[in-house]
Amino acid sequence: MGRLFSRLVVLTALLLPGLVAAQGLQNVQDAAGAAKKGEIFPVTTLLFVQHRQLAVVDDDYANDHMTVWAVRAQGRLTSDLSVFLTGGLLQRFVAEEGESPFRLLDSRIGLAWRTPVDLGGGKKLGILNELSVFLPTSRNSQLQDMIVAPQARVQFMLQPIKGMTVALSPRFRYRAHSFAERAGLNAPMNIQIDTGIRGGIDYTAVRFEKAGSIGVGASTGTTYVRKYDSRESFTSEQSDQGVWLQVYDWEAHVTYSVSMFNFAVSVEQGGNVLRNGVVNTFFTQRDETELVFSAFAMF
Amino acid sequence: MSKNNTMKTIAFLATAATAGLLASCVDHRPIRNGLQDESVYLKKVDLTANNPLVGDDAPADDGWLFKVTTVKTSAPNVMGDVIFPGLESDLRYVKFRFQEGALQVLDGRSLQEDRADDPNDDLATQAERVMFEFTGGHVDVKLRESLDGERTNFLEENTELPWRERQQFKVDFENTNMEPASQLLWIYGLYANLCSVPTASHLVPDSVEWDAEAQYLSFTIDVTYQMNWIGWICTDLLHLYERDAQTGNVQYRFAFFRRGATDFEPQVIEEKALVNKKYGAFQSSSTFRDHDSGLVGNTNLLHRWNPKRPSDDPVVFYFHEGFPENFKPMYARIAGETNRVMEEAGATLRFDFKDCLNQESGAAEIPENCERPTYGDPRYSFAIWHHSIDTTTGLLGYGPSVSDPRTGEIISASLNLYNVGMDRYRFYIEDYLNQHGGLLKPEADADTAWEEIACDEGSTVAPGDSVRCRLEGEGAFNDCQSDGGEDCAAVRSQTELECTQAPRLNTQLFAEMRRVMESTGADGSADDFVPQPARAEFRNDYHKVLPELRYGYPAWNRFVYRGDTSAFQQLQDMEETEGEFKQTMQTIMDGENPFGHTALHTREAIESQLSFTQNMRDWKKNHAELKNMKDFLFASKSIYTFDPNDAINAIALGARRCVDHDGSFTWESDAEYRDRIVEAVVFNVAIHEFGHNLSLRHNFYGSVDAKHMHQGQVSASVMDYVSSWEEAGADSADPEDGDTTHHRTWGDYDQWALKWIYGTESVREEAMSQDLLYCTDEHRILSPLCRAHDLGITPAQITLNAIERYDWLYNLRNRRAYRKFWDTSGYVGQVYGSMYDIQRMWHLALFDWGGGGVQETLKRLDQVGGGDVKTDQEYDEVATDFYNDVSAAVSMNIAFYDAVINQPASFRNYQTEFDPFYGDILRVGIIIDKLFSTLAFMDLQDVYYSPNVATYVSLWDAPFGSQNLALSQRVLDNMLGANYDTFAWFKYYALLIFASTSNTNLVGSIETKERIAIERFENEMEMREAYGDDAYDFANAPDNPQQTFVSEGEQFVYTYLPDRNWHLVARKSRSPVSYQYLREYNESLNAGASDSLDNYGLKILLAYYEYFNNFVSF
Repeated sequence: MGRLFSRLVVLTALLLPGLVAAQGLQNVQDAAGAAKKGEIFPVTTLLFVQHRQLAVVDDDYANDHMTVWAVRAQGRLTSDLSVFLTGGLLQRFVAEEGESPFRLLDSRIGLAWRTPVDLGGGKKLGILNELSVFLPTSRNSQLQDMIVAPQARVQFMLQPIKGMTVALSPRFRYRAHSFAERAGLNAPMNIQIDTGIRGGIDYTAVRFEKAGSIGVGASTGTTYVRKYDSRESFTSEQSDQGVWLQVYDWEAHVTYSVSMFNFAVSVEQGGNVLRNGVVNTFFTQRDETELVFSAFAMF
Repeated sequence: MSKNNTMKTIAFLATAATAGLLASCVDHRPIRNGLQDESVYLKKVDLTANNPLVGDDAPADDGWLFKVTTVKTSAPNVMGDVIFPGLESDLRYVKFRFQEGALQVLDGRSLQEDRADDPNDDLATQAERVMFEFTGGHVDVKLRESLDGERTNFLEENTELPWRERQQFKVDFENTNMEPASQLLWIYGLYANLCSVPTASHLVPDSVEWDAEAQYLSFTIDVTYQMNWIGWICTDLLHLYERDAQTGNVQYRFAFFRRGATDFEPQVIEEKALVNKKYGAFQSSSTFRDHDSGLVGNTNLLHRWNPKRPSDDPVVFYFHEGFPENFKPMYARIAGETNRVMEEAGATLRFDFKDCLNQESGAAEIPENCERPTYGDPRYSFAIWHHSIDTTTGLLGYGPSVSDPRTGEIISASLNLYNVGMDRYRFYIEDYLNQHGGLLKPEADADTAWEEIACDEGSTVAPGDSVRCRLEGEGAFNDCQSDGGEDCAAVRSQTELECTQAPRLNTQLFAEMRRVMESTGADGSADDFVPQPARAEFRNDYHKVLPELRYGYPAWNRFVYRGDTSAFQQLQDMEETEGEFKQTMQTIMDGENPFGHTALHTREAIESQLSFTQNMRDWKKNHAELKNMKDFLFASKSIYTFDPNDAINAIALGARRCVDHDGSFTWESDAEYRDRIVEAVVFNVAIHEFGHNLSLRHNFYGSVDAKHMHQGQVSASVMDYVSSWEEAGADSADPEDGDTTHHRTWGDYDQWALKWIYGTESVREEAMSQDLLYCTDEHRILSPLCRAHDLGITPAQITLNAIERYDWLYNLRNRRAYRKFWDTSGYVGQVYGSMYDIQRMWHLALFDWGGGGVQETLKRLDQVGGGDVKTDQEYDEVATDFYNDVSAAVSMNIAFYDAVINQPASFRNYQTEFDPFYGDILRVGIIIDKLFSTLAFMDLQDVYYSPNVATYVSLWDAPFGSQNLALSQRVLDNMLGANYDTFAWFKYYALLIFASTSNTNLVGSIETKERIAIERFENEMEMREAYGDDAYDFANAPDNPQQTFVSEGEQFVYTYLPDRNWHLVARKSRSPVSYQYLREYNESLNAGASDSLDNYGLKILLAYYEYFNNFVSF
C-alpha cells in the first residue's frame, strides 16, 4: 500500500506530463494540431482521470488504489506558440477524520511550441518544445518548501510507418526550495535537479470507421534526481555534496480512442534503481506492479 | 527558424539564470543533533597525521607532547602530599594510535631506533609501548543517510564502514586503563593505587579543548577515590583529623600539543662534565641503546628556556585566579632582577608576570596582549596561589618546569604557592605570639602592647643568636671588601657586636654542657663553644676545602644498575618499618616498658633489650633512608615541603623591628610582625620556586659559602633550604633603589648559575672561573656540610645552632599550651633529627679531617690548582683551625647528649603529661630524647659517611682527640652510673648497650669494656686467696663503710651479696663504673645497717658484664 502511494507521489509530481505523453502521444499531438487549427486564441481543454491500483491487492484495499484528476488548458498565442496550464487533484481512499480525501497536485504553467524538422521522403520529425514552471500547490511541495520548479522539455516524435509513433523526450527541471533540507527529523534533502529521458512507442492497431481506434503501446524512462548539498562537511570533503539518484519505470498500455475521448489500460512498474545501496531493479514485482486505468477527454 | 532558435536560446538562458538565482537563495535548516552532547568525537586524522605546524622542510613528525596536571583536589585531601593541586608530570613525547575500541597513547620514544639502512637494526619484532589508553568507538559523525546515500539534516553516528575507515573516534576520556596519577610519576600511581581505589571517573563538563589550528587537545577528568586504610604506607599519607573522609577527589588535566619550528639549540651535558660540579641545572635525561655499541646509554640535555627567545616576546607567567593582590608586586621585582641577570648573560630571553586571568576580581589594569589560558595548558606558564588549606598536608611551594624531552627546551613552568604553608605560618605565628609574644619585652613594659613601647630607630629585639650574628659579620665583611673598604675586619666585628642580643646560651641545657665540658668561659658567650680561628686565612682555606666534601648518594646515581627490589617495594617495606618504629616510640612516650615485664638482670630481659637495641638500629637506618628517599622524591619534583616548625622557628628566632608609628618609633605590633614575616616567607618561596622554573637546582652549600654572602644574607643562594630565620630576618629594601646585591634578590651563586645556563660562551667562561660553592640533593645525604635547614658556616657553628634550636624550641615542641590542634605525630622525627644529624661533624672529623686529612687535601688542591704549595709544617698550622673547629663541634655533640640525659624531671619531665579528664596531651615527655641520646652516644653507629666509607663506630670509643676522649669518658661514666631521671626500665639500658657494644671487635679500645667489670668469687676463700687476708679484713672493717681496700698499690672495692653468696671486687683504675656502683652500694648498706637493701642495680651490672664476658660454651 505504502509503496504505491509513495511511488505515485513521484509519478504524479514528476511524470504526469510524461505519462500523458507516453500514453497519448498521438492524441496530444493531435490536440496540439487541433489547436493550431483553431481561431484566435483557441483554447483546448484536456480532462484527465486516472485510477491506479496495485496489481495484487491486499485486504486493505483502500490503501492500494487512488485516483488522479487533472485538467490541462492550452491556448495558442501565435501560430507556433501555445501557453498551457495544468492542475489536478489526487483522490485517496483513506483519509484522517475530517480530512478531505482530495489533495491538490502541483500546478504548472508553461509555453509550448513546435519546431518540426522535415526529414524528406515525406517524413517529418516532430519536435515539441516546452518551457514551464511548476508551482507548489501540492501539499508535498508545500511541505518541502518548494518555491518554483522551472522545467525545459523537448519531445521528438517520428512516425516510421503509418499508425506507429516513436517518441523520445528529454527534460530538465530545477527545483527551487526555501530550504535544502526537508522538514522533519529524518526527512531527506530536497531535490534540486530533476532530469530524465523517456522513450515510447505507440501503434494504432485497429482503426474503426466511426468507432474510434484501438492502440497498443509501451514506454520506458529514467530520471536522475540530484539532492541539494547537505549543510556542511563532517567527515570528508564529499560529505557536503549532493547525491544523485536514478529512477526507472516502464509501462505497457492498450488505448481506445474515440472522438475526443481516450481510454487506456496500462500495466506499470517503476522505482529506484538503487535500493538499500545496491542496484536492484525489477521488470515486474507483485508488490509494485500497478494496473492503471486512464481516461481523458479533450475539448 | 532563426526566430525559433533565438527564442529557444532566450528561453534556456532565462531558465538557467532563474535556476542559478534560485539556487543561490537556498537556505539550510538548523542541524538536528542526534549526537549525545556529552560525547566527545575526535577526528582521527587530526591526531595521527604529521604535525602541520612545522614547515614542509622539516622532517615528518606525527608525535605530540603530553602532560598531566593535577588542577584540583577535594578537601580534606586524603592523598595529602602525594597528589595535590599543582602536581604535574614531566613533558613526554607520545604518539596516538587507534585500536578497535581504544585510543592509545604510545611512548613516542624507544630505546633503539629503527635505521632503514642497517639490516641489523630492523625492529620488525618490536611492538609499540602503550602508555595508556582511553576506550571508545570508531564512528563517522555525519548527517543521517540512507543506504542509497540520501542525506538528511539529522546528525548522527554512523558505523557502516569498517572501523579503520571510520573517520572519527567517540572517546570516553573518563575510562582509561591506567590510574591518572601514574602519569604524574610512575611511583605515584603505585602509591596512590595501593592506598586508594578509584571508584568513579568523570569528564569535567566543558573541559575539552580542541584547537586544530594550534594543535592542542586538553580535557579534565575528575576521579573519586575510596581510601584504603592498609599498612603504614597509607596511614603515612593520612592524618587523624581526616579520617572521617573516606573518599577523595582529584581532577587531572590531560594536555596534548604540538609546536612549530624553533631555533632552540639543544646542549648535551656529559655525565661527568666539569659544570656539574660548579652549577646545578636540571637536565633532561634520555636513555637509549647506543647504536654502535649496543649498550644502554644516556644523554643529558640541559633543561633551559631558549636564551635566544626575542626580548619583545617575553615568557609570560599568568597570575591564576585568586592570586592575592598584595603579593603580586614582588613578582615584578623578581622578573626585573631576572631580566637584569639575563641581560648580563647576553641572552635575549626575558620574563614577565601578567594579570590577565583576574579581570573579574577587579585588577586595576588589564595588560596589553592578554590571553586567557586555562590552568594546566602546558603551553603557558602560571603563578598559582592554592588557597585551600586542606588540599595538601604541608607544602610551601612547588616550581616545576616542563621541557621538550627531545631537546631540553623549557616550554612552560608553574610557580605554585600553597596557602597551607602560608596560613599555617600565620596560625602558628599567631598562636605563638599569643603565648610567647611578651617573653622578650622589657620587664617594665610587660603589660604594654609592643606597638606602644618606644624603641630606637633601627633596633630589633630577638632571641640572641651568636651564629646568626657571625653570618651578619661575614656579609658585612664581604660588602666592605667589594666596596674597597680598608678595615673590613673591624666592620665585621662591629656588625657582630651590633647584632648581638640577649643570648640563649645560658639555659639549663647549656649550663650542663659547660659543666661536663669543664668549660671555663663566661656563661652566654658563644666563644665557650665555637673557637675563633687563629688565622684570618682560615676563611678562604675552609672555602677551598668544602668542594672536596661533596659525596653523592650511590643509590640515586642513574648510571649504575644494582640488583634490588623495586623502589616501590622498598618504599612500602620502609614505611612498614617506620610505622613499627613510630608505634613503639609512641608506647614508650606513653610510659610503657618496651622490654616486657621481666627482671632486667635475667637472661630473658637482656635478650629482650638486645632485641630492642637491634630494632632501634634497624629503625634508625630505615628512618634515615626513608626520609632521604622522600626528600629526594620531592626534590626531584621541585617541591618545597612545609615543616610547621619552620613557622615557629621563623617567629621565635626572628627579630621584631622598631618601626615608625605616626612619627614615633615603637615596636612592630604582633600583626605587623606576623605580616612581615609571612610576606618574607612568600618572597623567599616565590624566588626559590622561580629559580626552579629557570632550571636552577637546589644548592645546599649556599649557607656555608661565607665568601659570597652579602649583608643580611644567610646563604649565597636562594636555592638553599636555610633555617627559617632567613625569612624572619629578611630585609625588605628594594633593589630598585640601586641595591642590586641586596639579600632580596638572587644570591651570587644563583646569578652566576643563571649566567652559565643562559649565557654566551664568554660569559660562561667567566662563570666557570668563579669559586662559588655548590652541592645539591644527591649530596645532602652523605656530605657533612651539604645540608638543608642548617645555619652556620663551620662545623662548630652549625652544631651550636642546631643545639640552640633544639633547646629554644622545647616549649613549642613539647608543650601543648596555646595550640588549637596539636599534632604530635612528627615528634619522633623532629627529635631524631636533633639527635643524630649533628653527628655528621663527628664523622667529618673521623673520616676526613682526622689523621692529617686537612693537610692532605689542602696540599693536593694547591698542587693541582697551581697554588702556593707549602711545607708540611705550614700545612699543620693551617689545619689547626680546622681541627679546633670540628673538635669543638664533636665536644658539643658529646656534651649535648649528656645534657639531654641529665635534664631533671622537675625541669623537663621524661614522662608525658595528659589532661586527666580529657586525655589530651599537655606536654610530651622527653623520654624519646633521652633514649635517642643514649643510643646516639653509647651504641655502635652504623655510619655511612661517603660512598667509600661505611663502618661501625661508637662515639665514646672514637671521640676525636684527647680532649674529647676525656669528655666522652666523663659522659660515659655519667650514663653508666644510671643517676639520671628516667623510667625504671631505662635506668640501666645504657649499661646494657655499653656491655654489648664494648664486646665486639668493632671498638678500638678493647680495655674499655672493663669499666663495668666485676670480679666474682663463689666463696670467701677464693677472694682471700686472690687478694690476701689483709685486704678482706680491711674491706670488712667496721670503720670502712665503703669497703674499699688497697692491693699492690691499686684501689679496690669489695662487697658481699648474701642472697647469692657472692663476693664481688672491682678495681678503681680499670673498672671505675663498677667501683663506683659497689662503693655507693656499700655506703648505703652500711649507713642504713640494713640487710634488706636492694642490690638490684648491682646484680644488673654483674649480669650485663658477665652475659657478654663470661664465655660459657661452644
